[in-house]
Amino acid sequence: MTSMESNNDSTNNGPFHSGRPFRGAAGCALAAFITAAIAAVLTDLAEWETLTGWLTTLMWLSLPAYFITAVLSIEAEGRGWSERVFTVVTFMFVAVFVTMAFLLVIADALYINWTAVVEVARSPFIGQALRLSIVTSVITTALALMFAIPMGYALSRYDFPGRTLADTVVDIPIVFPPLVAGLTLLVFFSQTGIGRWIEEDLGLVFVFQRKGIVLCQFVISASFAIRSAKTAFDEVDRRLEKVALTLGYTSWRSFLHVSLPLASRGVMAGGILTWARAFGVFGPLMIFVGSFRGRTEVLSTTIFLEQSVGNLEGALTVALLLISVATVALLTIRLVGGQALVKL
Amino acid sequence: MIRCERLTYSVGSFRLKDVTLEVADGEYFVLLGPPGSGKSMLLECLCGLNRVDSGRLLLDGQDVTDWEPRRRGIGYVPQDYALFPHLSVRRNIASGLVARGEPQEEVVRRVAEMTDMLGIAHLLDRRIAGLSGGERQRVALGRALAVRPRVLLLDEPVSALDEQTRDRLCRLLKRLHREMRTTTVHVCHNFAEMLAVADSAGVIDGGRILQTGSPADVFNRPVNVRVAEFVQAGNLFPAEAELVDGQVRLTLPGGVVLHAQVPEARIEQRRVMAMIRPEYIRLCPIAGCARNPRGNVNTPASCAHVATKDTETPGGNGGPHRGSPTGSTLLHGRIAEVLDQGAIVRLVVAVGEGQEWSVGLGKSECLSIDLALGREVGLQIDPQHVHVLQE
Repeated sequence: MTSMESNNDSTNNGPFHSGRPFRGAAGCALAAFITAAIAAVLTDLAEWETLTGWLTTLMWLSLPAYFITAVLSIEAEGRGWSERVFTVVTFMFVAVFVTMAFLLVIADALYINWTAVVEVARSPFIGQALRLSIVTSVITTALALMFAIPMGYALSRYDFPGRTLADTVVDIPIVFPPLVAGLTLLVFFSQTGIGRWIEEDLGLVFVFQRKGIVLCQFVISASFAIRSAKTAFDEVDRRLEKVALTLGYTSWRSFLHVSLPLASRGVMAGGILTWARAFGVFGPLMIFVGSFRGRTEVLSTTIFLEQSVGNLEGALTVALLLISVATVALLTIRLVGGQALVKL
Repeated sequence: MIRCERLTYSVGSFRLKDVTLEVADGEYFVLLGPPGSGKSMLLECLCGLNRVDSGRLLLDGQDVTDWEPRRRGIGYVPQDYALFPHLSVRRNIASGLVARGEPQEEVVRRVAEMTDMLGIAHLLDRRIAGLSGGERQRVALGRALAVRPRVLLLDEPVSALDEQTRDRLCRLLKRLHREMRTTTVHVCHNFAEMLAVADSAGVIDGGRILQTGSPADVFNRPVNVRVAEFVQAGNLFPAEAELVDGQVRLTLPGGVVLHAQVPEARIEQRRVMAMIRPEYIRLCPIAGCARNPRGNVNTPASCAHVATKDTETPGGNGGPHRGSPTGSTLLHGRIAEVLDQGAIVRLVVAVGEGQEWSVGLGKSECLSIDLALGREVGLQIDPQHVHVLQE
């Protein structure tokens, strides 16, 4: 009783205690959930059914435990009930969304079996598809950034006739249905003069070629990089560039040593989005380059191929592979890149 | 030396019009202007960041109108300093030297020289984010001065700082200027700042230079009402001017008569504005002064200093011989408002019907006077402190 009172006095939090003790508890619950989920998937693969049952129960118990402790750990601005309810309501949406995403992944994971995993791991074609996915998406990201950095700067800094139009056109591929992008590319190369000139006279063939994968990914995803880069350059104070010019910098030097480093975070974020979109692109690839085993097959088209022949386990295994590669990459870049720059 | 000849620059609906300005070698010039007057824009034109529409800009006699900013040899400290947030203090200060390709040992030497001079050697390895306003200002000055510019341009260098830091930095600016003799243009909107640092001064408004001259000139003898209002002239009244025996006689609304010593007695219009700074008005206890029915009292000049002595003025009952050529004017009114402004006390004195006069008193003067609201007081105005503006 006395300890309760002293606790209340020291934190002076009205009817609520400080959220700090709950932080540790929420962390533990989250760790328990993730461990149980991974363990359940593994035991399921190994077909140890009783253990899987226990682990799934643990998983489902630790999830609400996490949400409750997490919401309690949030230091609310106010101290009354109304503020607490507000916190709970906003956090509830986070909880629902994250749970839904987890549920979907776990449902996939629990469906697959060991045979499918072994099959996928042994298949030379799927290995090749994975490598091709990674290589093409990285090339696409590099190309997109190559365009995005100067474009973002130009769109942010220069006032030219048609700027609003250019700005809007940049966003078009984002709202484009991906399938339409593939169709458009196909039509462009087969039905237009320029397209035929590129294919026939320049000898640059994209249709049903690996180069075409990069082209599709670029069309679908470069907008994210450009948009992010523009926003990032918008946020760089122009006075910094002005001062740099008076200090003796050339425009090039001022761009490379002042604007670009300061925009790097946003540019990097755009790169991540671009890569993630390029990595998962599917629709236009099916139309523009097809999905030939060992030639133009990437992970996303593999999934389609596998499920179209009724190999649902195989398809889901590849899907999980795609999701895990993407998640690991996103997490790594976020954790490393997030500290790249201390904002003023 | 900086020389602008009829510089014109426009952006949107705003225009700098025919700006002509000359700042002598080694001079500290302060350009005063209210927000939005075009003063920052003018600085950017001097830097070469804005391409002027017409006119010429000369630095040390060289026409640099079409030069790129980096070739002009200008040190520019913009508002809020614009320090590079991704670089350390050391690399900020070195940035200009590095960009100019100075050898490494020279860079190190100059950075050390600058930081010693500015007293920021202990900050060298810090990031910008952790610095206080005053520290940032010093770093920005160091960065601008490290390249030994021909001209230093300061855009509101101390406006964002608190009072104490502002005072310290004004002194620092003054000292740096004494030591380096860099021709400086300092832009601000605070006339106290101007009086503290300027060798010469100017006033800009609406994209035009309204006045240039010594700081005292701008402060005490503004050329027009806008400048007068901007330097807070305090007492500004429309008046009828006439020349009487070589002296200007001003009749204010309500019949108050003032005399002014206008050099060259150059009064082109009858209708003018009379300006009397609050600090130059002396306060007399009313007892010693005769007054006339209009609230306009005239005494021999002997009323001087009675405000502090609080004694009877000998012979202070001069008849209503208003308009005596050399005489001071003594007005009679009631204290309507007492505003303690820290360093001085400002009184609002109601004279006659609704005319309000502002009087600035030193704190020591106030000690010997009773400043009760409604108390009758006399205001003594000497002709040399009456300034006449064309309307």
